[in-house]
Formats: sequence, C-alpha cells, structure tokens
Amino acid sequence: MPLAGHQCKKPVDILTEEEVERICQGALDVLAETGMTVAHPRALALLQEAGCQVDLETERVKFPRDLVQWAIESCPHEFDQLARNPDLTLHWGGNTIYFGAFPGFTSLDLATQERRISTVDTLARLVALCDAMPEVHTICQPTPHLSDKPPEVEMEWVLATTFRNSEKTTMGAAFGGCSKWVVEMCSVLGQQVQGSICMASPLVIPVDQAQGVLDYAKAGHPLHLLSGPMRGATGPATMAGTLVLQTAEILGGNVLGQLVKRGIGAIYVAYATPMDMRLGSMASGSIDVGIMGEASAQLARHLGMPSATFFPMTDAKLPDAQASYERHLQALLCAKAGINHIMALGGLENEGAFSPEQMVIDNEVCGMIGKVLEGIRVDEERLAIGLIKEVGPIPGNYLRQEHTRRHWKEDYFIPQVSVREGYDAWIAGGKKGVLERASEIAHSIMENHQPNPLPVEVDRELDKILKAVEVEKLGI
Amino acid sequence: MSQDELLNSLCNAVIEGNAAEAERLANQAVADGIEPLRAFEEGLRRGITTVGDGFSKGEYYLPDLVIAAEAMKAAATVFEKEIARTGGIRQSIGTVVLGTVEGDLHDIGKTIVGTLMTAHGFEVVDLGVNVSKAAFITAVREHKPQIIGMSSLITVTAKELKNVIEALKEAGLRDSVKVLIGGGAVTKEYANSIGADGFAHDAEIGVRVAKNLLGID
Repeated sequence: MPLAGHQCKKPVDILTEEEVERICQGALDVLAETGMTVAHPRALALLQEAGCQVDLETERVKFPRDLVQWAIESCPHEFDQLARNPDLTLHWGGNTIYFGAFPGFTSLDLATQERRISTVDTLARLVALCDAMPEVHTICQPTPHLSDKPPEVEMEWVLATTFRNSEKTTMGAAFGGCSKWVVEMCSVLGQQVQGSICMASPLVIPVDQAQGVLDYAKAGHPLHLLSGPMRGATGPATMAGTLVLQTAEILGGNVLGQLVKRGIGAIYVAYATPMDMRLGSMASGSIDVGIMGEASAQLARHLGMPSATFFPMTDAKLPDAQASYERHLQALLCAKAGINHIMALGGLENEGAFSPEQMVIDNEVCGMIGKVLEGIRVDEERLAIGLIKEVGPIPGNYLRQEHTRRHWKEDYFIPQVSVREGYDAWIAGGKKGVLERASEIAHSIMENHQPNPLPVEVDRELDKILKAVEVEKLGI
Repeated sequence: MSQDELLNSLCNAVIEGNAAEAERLANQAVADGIEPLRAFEEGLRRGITTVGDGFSKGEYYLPDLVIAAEAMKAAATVFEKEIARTGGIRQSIGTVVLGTVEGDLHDIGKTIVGTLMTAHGFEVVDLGVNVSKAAFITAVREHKPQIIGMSSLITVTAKELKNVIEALKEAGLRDSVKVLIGGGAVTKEYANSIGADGFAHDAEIGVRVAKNLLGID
C-alpha cells in the first residue's frame, strides 16, 4: 500500500472549461508555430524521427499538434513511485496530495539564524529532520550547495546524503549531468526518484535537462517536468499568458519523455513567479503564485497528468509572520485545488534558505491543511442527535460522555507549536512563542533522530559510485 | 518646433519609451543643426535621468526603465554618429563593460544593472550573455572602462568570474579596471576570495557600489 497522504475529494476549479481549452490550445499553437530550443543532439534526432520539424543549426524544434496530443495520451493518469521501504511508496495522481520538503541551497543556523552553506554532515541532519516530520511525505530535489565538496560533484553528494538519511522518496535532478549517476544510485538502492527536469524559460530544454529526460525515462523513473517562468521577465506578465507558456514547456518536455519511453509517468510541475518590478528579483511569496497553483492543478487534471508546485514559497528572510502568511496561503490554495505534490516545505527567501523552525511550523500547518481536506464526516453516530437529546440543557454537558472520548480526536487538530495556554500560564512558561517552540522541537529532532540506515553493502556501493563521479568529473 | 521644444519632445519620447519617435526626433535634431552633445544631454540624458530618479522614488518600475533605455539607445545611435563625425567627446561619469560569463545565458539581471547604470550617467558597453574571457579582455582594451561588471547566476559558471580576473592579470589589465560582480551564484565571501573589487545582488546596490569604486558619492 502506498503512503496515504491526504485526499482532496472535491478539487476547486478556478477556470471555466472554455478557459482551460484556450490555454491548452495556446500551448499547442506555440509548440507548433514557435517550438522550443533543445540543445541536445540525440534528443533532436529522436524528435526529428518522430515528425518534429527540426532545424539542426539553431536547435529549434517545432512540434506537430498530433504528436503533442499523442504524448499527452501516452501519459499514465496515475502511477507509483517506488520507495525502498514499500510503506513509503508514493501513488501519484487522482485526488492524493503529498507534501514535500526542500532541505537544499543554504540553511539558517538554529542557534544564530545566520545563513550558512551546508556541509555533508549538516545536510545529513536537515534531511534527518525532514525524515522525522510526519507531514513530509517526500523530500524534494535538494539542490546544491555543499561547502565541503567541489561544485562539480555537489549534486551527486547531495543526493547520496539524502538517500543515506531518509528512506522517504526523493527527487533526482539533472543539473551538471548528474542524472546518469542518480539512476545508478537508484538501481543499487532499489527505489525510484522523480526525475526533475527544469525547463529554461522561455522555451528551452537545456542540454543537461534533455540528458536528464533521456536518462530518467529510459531507466523508468517518472519525470517531474518543471516550468518556472518569471512573469514579466522570462514569461508574459499576465497569468493567463504564463499558463500558456508553462503548459507549452511542460508538454514539449513530455513529448521527449514519451518518445524515450512511451507510458512513462510525467508530472506537470508549476513554478512560475512574478518578477518584482522594483527589484528585478523573484517575488515568490506573492499571492498570485498560489492562484497560478490553482490553475495549474486544473490544467494538469484536464491533461490527465498528476500536478505539482514548487511552492509554497516566501520572500521573508526569517521564519516570521510574512513567511507564514505567504507560504500558508499558497499551500492552502494549492491543496484545495488538488495539486498532487505540494513541495518545498521549510523554505525561506525564495527557497534560497531552509529553516528548521519553518519546517516544524510548516509541518503543523500541513497537518491543518490535511484536516481542511478531510472536511466533515456526517453520519448518524457523528450527528449525535440522540446524544444531544440525552444531555439536554445545562447542567448537562459533553465532557463526561463516552461519545466525546471516542470521537474528539477524529474531528480535532492537535497542535504541537501553537500557543494555546492562558496568559498567566504563558508567562509562567517563559513567554515562549511559536518560534521558540519550533526551535526546541527542531533541536531535539536534529540531535536525536536516527533515520533507518542503509544496509552496509548498499552504503558501500554508494561510496563506489561517488568515487566514480569524482574520477569522471574531477579526474581524481 | 523650436530647438527647446524639440529637445523636450525628445526627453518625453525617452520617458514614454517610444523608440521610433525618439529616433525620428534625433534625426530631426541633427537636421535642424542642434549640437549633438547638447541634444544628448538635454534630450536623452534628461529623459533617462527622470525615469531613473522616478524609479528610485518608486514612481516608475522596471518595465518603464528598460523600455526608456531602449528608446534612449535608438536615439543615441543617431547622435553618436554625429558626435563622431564632428569629432566631439561625450562626457560620462565612467565607462562600464558588462556581461554574463561564458556558459551562462541569464540576461535579465545584467540588463537591469546596465540600464540603471545608464540612468545614473555611466557609459555602458553591454557585451550580452555567454561572454568568453577573451571577449571581456578585447572589450577592456577597446573601451578602456573604469569598471568591468560580470554576472553569473548559476554555480557551475561562477568559476568563470575568477577566470576572467586571472585573464585580466595575465593581460596586464587588472590594475586598469575595477571588477564588480553579481548574480545568484555570487556571495560576498566568494567575491573576496577571487579578488573582485565589488559585489552586489541587486541593481540599485550595484550602481551604488560602482559609484563608490570610482569615488563618486
């Protein structure tokens, strides 16, 4: 049985059927008329063979509509991503919602709140924290940096460190040609990753990403096709326009994936953000990011692909009020819309920094969102009409009723970090706010949590692969 | 149209970001015999400075700034030809050679920095993206800038920043320019470690650092 996650029984639609159709037709139109640049000779050959109009000089590929349609129809609506512990296998698609953490880039030090670049050892503890969080169903592609490894081999080390410190599923990247090594690691580990492919907007599949499609699809790993235009800069300023571009890029990537292996799972991954028109930087905490998430869920449903968002995000630099309202509004919008994979828990500053406290707070909020998705169970037992009659008016009450003891937990959310005690008790307890509480929990987990270790022989195989990476990339 | 009226219209065409109109008015100015250095300062520079100042105050935004710079560029080409023909020399507070390093195709951040520098009175030579170290060296020789500005958004190409600095040393040009670096892959520590003179993550700070490097307040 795959991991349960949450169920979004009635996804909220925000576009009309006609609007969905216009966006999808727009994407097909762009792919046919303008196409994409694919900077990879073997990918170009595959696309040409399948009937695309390819200009080898400019590496521009124009995709016939019926080929794009064929590739959409080749996508399985639902599929599993195998974990090495079968209880943690993910079932993508349908109404299932999973949350994913993102312990990459830099992180905020628990003691000082200073931003720092992880070492292999500190990343290991961050992954262990994610491993211990019940609402983290999968761990997202932790993108480098590592301060104690050369940049050329960071990605492979980040992945190996993630595999070693959590048996939860993860994502494999394609940056810097790491995909073939990730595939090799997975075959040793006996698990699948989501092969994360990042389009370069507008309309480019970069060479390493095209290689990633070839490597992951060939080895049977589902593809995680991510499009992240920055509105007003690398995508149209309008939400509708960027939805067209994003859909075109994802569908272009999907054509390549389905040509490599027909029927390979492919996830529609939205990562569009607006550019802040004063700063020129990504405004990732913007509310329209969440609105784009809602639309993306609906578009993916229409196309018959599972959906994901590389958000909630925030522009806040600390786990503060801004971090919370930006992240949690986006997360709730995505969940209500039925995004299957809501990623990047724990992140601050456009996912530039991972905060252990934010991770603990996000875990709590995702639990609440899970509660939102559950809704209200209405049946005779829960309607409790007989009980209401029995208890009657005051002085009757419900605390001593067996019904209360039996059912309260199913209709409550029990918080870990929220402050609920009365004022005097709060003073007596040292006036601890959410942050202090989250910090204590994070500290304790990062010090004490021991993830299930890899079998010794598998661990040794990972070492051999890392050695081979260094030989190939660094010549040592 | 009087000369003053024409220069006002030129200034407004820059502010409105109307490149075709700016170019037409520039040709008109040349035909009317307006001194090109004056037309540049009182028409174009005044327009771009208005937008640049407005940007600092939050009255204008990046699309206004970038499109105004495009209009300015269209008209400037006309005047530059005329200035060269008449043997004049245009004043600027300093020349900056700008580019995104080899292997990196990220254009937007670098363009924003260049535009804002132009609005602040710098002469900007934008070499574009995926610029090789040889191309940087050639541009430094040709334009004799006070500052060379380099951008790298991705970590994989950050090493190119160092390579260009090394190439400047080898070519004996390192002491002739200040090196300013920026982009997502760059940190202050990294800037120090490769011997850059300045570092910025955002365009306004980049302009400030550039001015500081040249001793301008």
